[in-house]
Amino acid sequence: MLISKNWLQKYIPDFTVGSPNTLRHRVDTRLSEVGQITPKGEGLSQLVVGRVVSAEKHPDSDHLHVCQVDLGEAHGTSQIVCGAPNVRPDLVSVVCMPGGNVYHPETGEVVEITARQVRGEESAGMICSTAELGMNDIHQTIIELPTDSIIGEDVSEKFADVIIEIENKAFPHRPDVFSHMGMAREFGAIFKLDFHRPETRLKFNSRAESILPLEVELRDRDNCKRFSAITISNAKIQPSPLWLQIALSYAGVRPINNVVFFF
Amino acid sequence: MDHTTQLQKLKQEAISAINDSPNSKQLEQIGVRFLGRKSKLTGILRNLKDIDPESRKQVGSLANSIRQELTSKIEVKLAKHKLAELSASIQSDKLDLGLPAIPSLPAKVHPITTERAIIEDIFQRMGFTVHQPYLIDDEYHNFTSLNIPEGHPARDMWDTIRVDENLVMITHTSSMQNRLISQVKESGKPVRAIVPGKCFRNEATDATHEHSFFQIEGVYVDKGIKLSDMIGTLSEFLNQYFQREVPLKIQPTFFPFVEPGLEIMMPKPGTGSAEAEFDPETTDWMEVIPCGPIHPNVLKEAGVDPEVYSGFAWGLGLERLIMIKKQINDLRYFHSGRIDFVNQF
Repeated sequence: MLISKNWLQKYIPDFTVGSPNTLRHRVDTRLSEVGQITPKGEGLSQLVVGRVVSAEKHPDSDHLHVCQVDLGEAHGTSQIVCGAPNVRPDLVSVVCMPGGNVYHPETGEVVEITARQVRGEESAGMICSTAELGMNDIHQTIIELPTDSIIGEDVSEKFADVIIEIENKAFPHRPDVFSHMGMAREFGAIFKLDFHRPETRLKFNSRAESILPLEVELRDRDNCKRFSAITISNAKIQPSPLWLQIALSYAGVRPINNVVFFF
Repeated sequence: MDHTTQLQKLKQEAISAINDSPNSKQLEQIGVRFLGRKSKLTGILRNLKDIDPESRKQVGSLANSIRQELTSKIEVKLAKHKLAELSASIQSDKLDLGLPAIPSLPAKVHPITTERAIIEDIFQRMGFTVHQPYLIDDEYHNFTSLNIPEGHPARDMWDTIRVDENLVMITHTSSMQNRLISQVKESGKPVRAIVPGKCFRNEATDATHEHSFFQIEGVYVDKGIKLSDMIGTLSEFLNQYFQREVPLKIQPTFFPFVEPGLEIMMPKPGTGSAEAEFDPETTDWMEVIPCGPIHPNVLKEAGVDPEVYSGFAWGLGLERLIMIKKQINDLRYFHSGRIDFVNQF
């Protein structure tokens, strides 16, 4: 299991990783073997939310596009050449500004992005893939953010975290620990920290007057004692917000969209 | 030529040949040549009737006397030859019959046998009895009675070899726990038992895995047994087995029949000396004894009230322990059938 320090801190705000050996020893002897403890997001800088205004075919290449990217009031609009198949007008993504750092998609080393020419066209920065942001191995496509993201926001700090790998062979009978909330409760007990359960009650602004358009038929009352159903209308399917995409990726899960992953 | 001259000539020829014979074998052939059925001498003696009566007596008597003389000369020469040949062979063979025979080694005992006996002895001195498992047992004893119900995913923890509808080759010596713990209810006395036995799993073999291997199970059920009793018993066992103070670490793990499930770990043996300096900062640990307090469901199933009784159980891998003690790096040697392996102990 890949456990995120940031995610744990939602429930145990006083938790810190501290000395890895101490953490390892405490958890080893009380729960299970601790594997790698990996700092994330180190070295990333100058990462800004940008919106692709236009994406014209590059005159000298069949897979490259010359894009005009709106980087907000502070940075204005920049021309960036992008080779990803999913680049298109109105796409919101993460841009690394010239002088900023990302991870090399294959070696993982920190590399600096500079303004340069790409086949005769100016490119002032780079639109990033999730591999270049240290989220996972995918680097053929660029990251997609929801359209209501704040354009121009510097998001470099959002990638900082520490991931603690915990071997789960030792507790198959502890389903209570198979989640960050459950692990936070366990860590709270191990490290004697206050556990805060966040408010999870949904607040409804209005109720539908008419009957649900969804029909559910219960065919086997013996094996299904209870069900609940809800319809949500006027939902717009979008990528999940950046902080959630990062949290899911660090936990080893591939983000899909805002309907699949609720938080 | 007349017969007399012929006979004299034959006699000289024969004597010459006899004297010149190089060995007993050649001499025997000369004897056949001059005195045998097809020899000239025998021919003359047979055909005496063809000779005229005046010379017959003379020729006959000469022939017979030559025959006797040659026979005795051959005898003497043969004896000489045989004597010479015997002393020659005594010289050349150089066989000293006074030396002891080439030693044939007495059989060696397999390390599994010797180490198992050592371990049984350690536990017997602590008051444990020794039992044998059934190598093929029913599902109830191997699984169900150990809090591993039918259809439960926990069964997937073992690659079981099935024999029949309800019979399996035991995957662990824990198959005897239910029978042993039941004795507590029957006798009212505590049970302290170990079960060394062979276990079977459908495993691909490699340096640390075999399909057939030995375990040594342990069970201790009484009133008031605590976790510290388990740690004390097993750490004392390890100290006795390795003949030194063995540093230990305890880590959580999972088995359905103990709660909590624990692994007793000891430092990995270093290369070179068997007792490397122990440094808690840098040491690499390895699991040696999976163990734990017996799960209440297992006690209940054996007819024992978990509110009154408690206990602990363990199941150590015998080959693994021997590999640590004797610095053997491949588990497969134990069941390879190789004499050159056994001869090293």
